[in-house]
Amino acid sequence: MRFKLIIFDLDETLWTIQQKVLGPVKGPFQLINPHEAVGKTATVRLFTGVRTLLNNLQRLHKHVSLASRSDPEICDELLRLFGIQQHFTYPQYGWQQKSQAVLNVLKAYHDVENEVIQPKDVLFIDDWPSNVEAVQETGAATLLFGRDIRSIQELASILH
Amino acid sequence: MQITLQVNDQPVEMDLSDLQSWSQLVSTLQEKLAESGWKISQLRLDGRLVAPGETPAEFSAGSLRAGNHCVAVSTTPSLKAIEALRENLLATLPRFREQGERLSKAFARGEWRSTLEQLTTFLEEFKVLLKGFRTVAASDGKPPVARIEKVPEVLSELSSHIRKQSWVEVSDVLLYELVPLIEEWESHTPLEQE
Repeated sequence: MRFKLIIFDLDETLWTIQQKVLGPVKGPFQLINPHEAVGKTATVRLFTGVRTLLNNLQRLHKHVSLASRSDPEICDELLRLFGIQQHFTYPQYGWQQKSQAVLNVLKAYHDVENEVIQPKDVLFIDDWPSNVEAVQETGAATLLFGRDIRSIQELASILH
Repeated sequence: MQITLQVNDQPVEMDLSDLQSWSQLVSTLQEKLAESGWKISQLRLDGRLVAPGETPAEFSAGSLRAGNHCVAVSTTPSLKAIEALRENLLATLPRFREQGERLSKAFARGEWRSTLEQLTTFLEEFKVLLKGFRTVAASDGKPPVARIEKVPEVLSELSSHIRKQSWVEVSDVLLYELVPLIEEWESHTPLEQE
């Protein structure tokens, strides 16, 4: 695989959220099984295969990061509960454009680790077409979850 | 004396010709059943319940050689038998871990199809073992050991991913669902002593 850095969206890409009530997702969450966490207002299910996928990317010495618009505290809590937080370096949260989030990750690698990663070395995966289109403008490769790839298995096959 | 024997309502062939008394008959049955991990829970003579320690009139001195009788035995598994099965199931843990890790690594080498096939065979063996355990545990009248009832559900999910040849999901379910379930079961308080 030619990519050095894989950046994932979270909601509906690595996990799915089922909301009990309309409104913001609120913690605290409780893990009811290895792939499912229940909170006050929502149940979050980590897609089966994500852990193996992340372990394999680590084995392949790939950098992995996040670009999510969700609440950072909620994301951190869920990533910790699912035991996958350690896989993501310089995660980006908040309402910024996803293209800006990708550039921020690249800047962090440059500033903190003195490692230059070009946009062409990045693969960005998101379930929202406009996010994917925005990131394409940076020169990064993109995959739209649900259209270009339909499962974690399919993604793993591409990323191996 | 002609004695027909039934164990759990099934006719059983056993040579009882050398028996001299009811207590000998009972102890012989106990020994034979214990060999296969069972113990007597109830004993009937010609349909009548016989209390432990009781010697039925039909078997009192002088009448031992007379008549045709049916001895019916109900059994439960011995604690030893349940523990042996439990140990066998727990012994599969390292193999599950190994299969999950192998599967995860095998993909990079293009060997995941053969690994999935090996896993399918192993799972079939595991299911037989699990079925045996659940049968004896249930017939003992004790609640199933912690969360063992969840295992078939996870196995079913695993089979579904195997059918789809989704190695990444198979590996995830093996390593992060099935192994922790069995590990949790491993650390569960042992069964009550008999």
